[in-house]
Amino acid sequence: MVDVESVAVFSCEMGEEIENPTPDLVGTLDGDDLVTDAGAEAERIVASMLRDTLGRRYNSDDTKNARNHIFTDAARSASVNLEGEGRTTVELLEKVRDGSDIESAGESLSQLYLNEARSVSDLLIYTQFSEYDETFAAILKTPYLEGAHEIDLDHEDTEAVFTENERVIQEETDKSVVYPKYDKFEEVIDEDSAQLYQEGGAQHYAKYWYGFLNLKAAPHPDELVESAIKQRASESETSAAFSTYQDFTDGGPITLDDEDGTEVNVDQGDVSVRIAGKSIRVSISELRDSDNVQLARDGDQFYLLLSDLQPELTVGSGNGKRSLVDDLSNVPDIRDLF
Amino acid sequence: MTPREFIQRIVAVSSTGSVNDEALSNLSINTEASSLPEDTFKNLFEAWDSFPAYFSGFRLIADDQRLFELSGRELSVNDEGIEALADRDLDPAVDVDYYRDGFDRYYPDEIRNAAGLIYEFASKLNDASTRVTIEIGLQKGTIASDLLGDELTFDFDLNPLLWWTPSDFFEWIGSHSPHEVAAELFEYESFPVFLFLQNAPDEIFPVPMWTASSVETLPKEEVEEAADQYFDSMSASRKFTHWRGDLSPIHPSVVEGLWETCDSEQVSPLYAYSLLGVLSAAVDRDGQTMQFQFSSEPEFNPRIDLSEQCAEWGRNGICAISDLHQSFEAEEKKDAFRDLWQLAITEHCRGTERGIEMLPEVIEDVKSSYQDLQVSAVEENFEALSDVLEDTQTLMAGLTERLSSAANETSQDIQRLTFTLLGAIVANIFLVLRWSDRDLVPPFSIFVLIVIVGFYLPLIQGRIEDLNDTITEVKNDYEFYEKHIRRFNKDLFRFGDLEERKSAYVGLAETQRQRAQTQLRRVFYALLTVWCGLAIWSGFAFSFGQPQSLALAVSGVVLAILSFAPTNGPFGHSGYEYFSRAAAIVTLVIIGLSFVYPLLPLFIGMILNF
Repeated sequence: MVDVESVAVFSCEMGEEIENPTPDLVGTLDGDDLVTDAGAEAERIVASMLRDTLGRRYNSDDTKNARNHIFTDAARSASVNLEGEGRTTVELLEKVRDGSDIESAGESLSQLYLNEARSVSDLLIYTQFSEYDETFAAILKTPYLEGAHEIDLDHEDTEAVFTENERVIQEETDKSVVYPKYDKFEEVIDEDSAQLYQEGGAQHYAKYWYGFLNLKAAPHPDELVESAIKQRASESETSAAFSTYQDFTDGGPITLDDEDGTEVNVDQGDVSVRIAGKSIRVSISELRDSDNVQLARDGDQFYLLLSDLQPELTVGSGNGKRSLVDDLSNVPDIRDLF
Repeated sequence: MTPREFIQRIVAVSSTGSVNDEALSNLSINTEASSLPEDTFKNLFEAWDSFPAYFSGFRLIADDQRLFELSGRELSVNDEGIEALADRDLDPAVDVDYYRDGFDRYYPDEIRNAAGLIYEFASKLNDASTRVTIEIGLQKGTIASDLLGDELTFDFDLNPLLWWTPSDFFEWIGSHSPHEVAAELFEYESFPVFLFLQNAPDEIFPVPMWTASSVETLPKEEVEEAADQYFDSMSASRKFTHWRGDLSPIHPSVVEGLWETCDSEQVSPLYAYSLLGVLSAAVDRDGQTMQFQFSSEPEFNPRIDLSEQCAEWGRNGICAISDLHQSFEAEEKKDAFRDLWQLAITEHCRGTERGIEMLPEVIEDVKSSYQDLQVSAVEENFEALSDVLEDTQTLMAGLTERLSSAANETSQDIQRLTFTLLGAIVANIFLVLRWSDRDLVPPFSIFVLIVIVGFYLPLIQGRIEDLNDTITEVKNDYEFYEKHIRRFNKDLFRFGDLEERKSAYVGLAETQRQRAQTQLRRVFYALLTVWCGLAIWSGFAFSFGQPQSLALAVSGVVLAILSFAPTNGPFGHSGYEYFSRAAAIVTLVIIGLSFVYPLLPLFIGMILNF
């Protein structure tokens, strides 16, 4: 059960007309504030967003918008480059996590966010919460509402900020950070990593969202393969990475020289095969050596052969799914087709 | 993990589930996840992870929703299925998302943990009355090749085939057309090795049927022997029967073992196909029916649907045909005999209402017809043999005649020579007695000598050489006939005796030739001796300038020409076997001295006068 301990909201406004953008504190809610009706509503909204964030599938090959990131060395060793600030980003996150100085830590982090190239105007919510008998820090980014910081959260009518003026904090997580990373299966805290979520991050996993916390990039296998193929294609004479299909199937592992100069094997990434008007995604390793996925040719005609024990022909989805055919035993023999 | 350990794990999984082994390349196993011990479940995942190439499918299904399944070489989560499951009100509730996330947490790096989590998930679902089945598909070809590849290497190619049990295998054979089975299982260039995961009979002959998990115990030498026999019989069946179109040759001896091991009649059509194929001259296919051509004159090429026919014949019918084949098997590789049994089958089945269908009932008749045909063929053989014997007698008679006539002619020539000599002696005696004139004896005798030595002796030598050639020709003729007869039948004909007779005649002719040659040489020496005598006589008894001197001079010139002219020219005699150049030179010296002697007084007188 997610238990929100304290919340701090900052409005970060960017724009060409603003020379030195600084975060504006919208308000802070600590233990005492949360017991009020308004506080309870704020807690409900934040807890709901946190549950959503925690429920994301981090580091799954199937999802690209939720990833585990490791801190760079600088996150622990170097003080952030802010006036009057002598703490590292990890220390700042720890401050949010222990709830002792959530307002100033939040302000520093918000400033770091604004300093990051390409960051956009948004509302950042810093919160300390507990779950799985552990305490965490989280940063939630919700859609920005112009002038939100002008609303006085300390005002008696706090509730209005969260309820009536619901557009101030929409119950919609754009991006999130949970620190530290927690492995609920092994019940292990990993303070070297944070879990990041970015809505729509499949295509645009924004760099600034992990950059301002001094986290390392965590590319998805598909992104790695894309870079590796691009790297390879730029070195080859033709515009493609391999000159023939045989070169591709017989070739060694596809590697990417990363920033450290080490070679990363990126065979797990997907390629998209477009055939007969259908796009099918298969991994490079499948296409190379799996008997279940094979590209074949007969004269000018190409075939993508996919084999399986029991294919499904269905309509509908979920519990409404219905099979089209019950018995597949008299499907024509492949030898009769060719 | 080795391929052997892999299949042991698979077999363990199958113990609580059902196995479906209906295809040549794939088999699938279905089992309820919660019925497996956790360790077996984890072992399976580990096996999957070690040999993804062995799998054609791998999935976990909760009721009708797929949760996890194979995608290429990866196991992937079917989110649709998971969500559908999460939407259900399971009782007791199952935190579906927890397990879904857990899979991402552990897969693919910690496969045992991932498996443990899925097992827990399956158990929870089972408690909530949701049946979780695990379905795996195996690539039999890849597994079989790996199993054998590690253990056995031979000079020939192997065709390893994996089956769950022999009965699954036989069922597959029964559900396919015999020609398909022949093409798929019994390749012409590679030796089939059938491996079974369970209930293997562990036999090597005629084709190995062995336990997959103990391929290392396959006796290599026996496998080699079986492979030799396999390739032999396959090439025989290909050589002697014309398999038309894309039909694959197959020999009954290869199928026999399978047929005997199989309790039901699933292998019967295949066995019948191989038996009838080998018994007939050509096989063709037309849709489902097979056409076996037994003979073209009279034409008998029945069409049958083997599966229907085998059901009708039953095991006993097939047994009968197999029996027929066995009685022919010894002569299988002889075209002449194949024609005979095909004729025998035609004789008994053609023209009847049921045609080839009645073959099992007329086996004994076919066999006896075949015996009869064989006997008449042998009789024909004997007739031909007596013709050969006659030929042989004619040959021997001819040889003898040619040898003796040649020898006789040589003897006759020698006799003529003797008579000529006698004639010359008589003529001389006559000269002396009639005219008491001894003066004419030397020139006359010398003239006779020149004629005999110059013309007669070469003629006789020619005869002797002709005899020699005849002997050589006779030997060649004999060899020619011998080959001819031997080709016909070497067992029935005793060549020792014939050879002995021929050698006796040839020996005789050679003795005669030798004798003639010796005599001719003696005559030659005798004539030269006489020639010397006459020369001395002419020299001492007559003065120079008389006809004797002239005759002597002419004879010297003739003898010199005979001795020194080249043999291949018209006059040279030195190459003849009887001719001795040394003797001729001695004679020439004596003739020379005898010619010079009468001139001595003249020379002395000239010297004195001088």
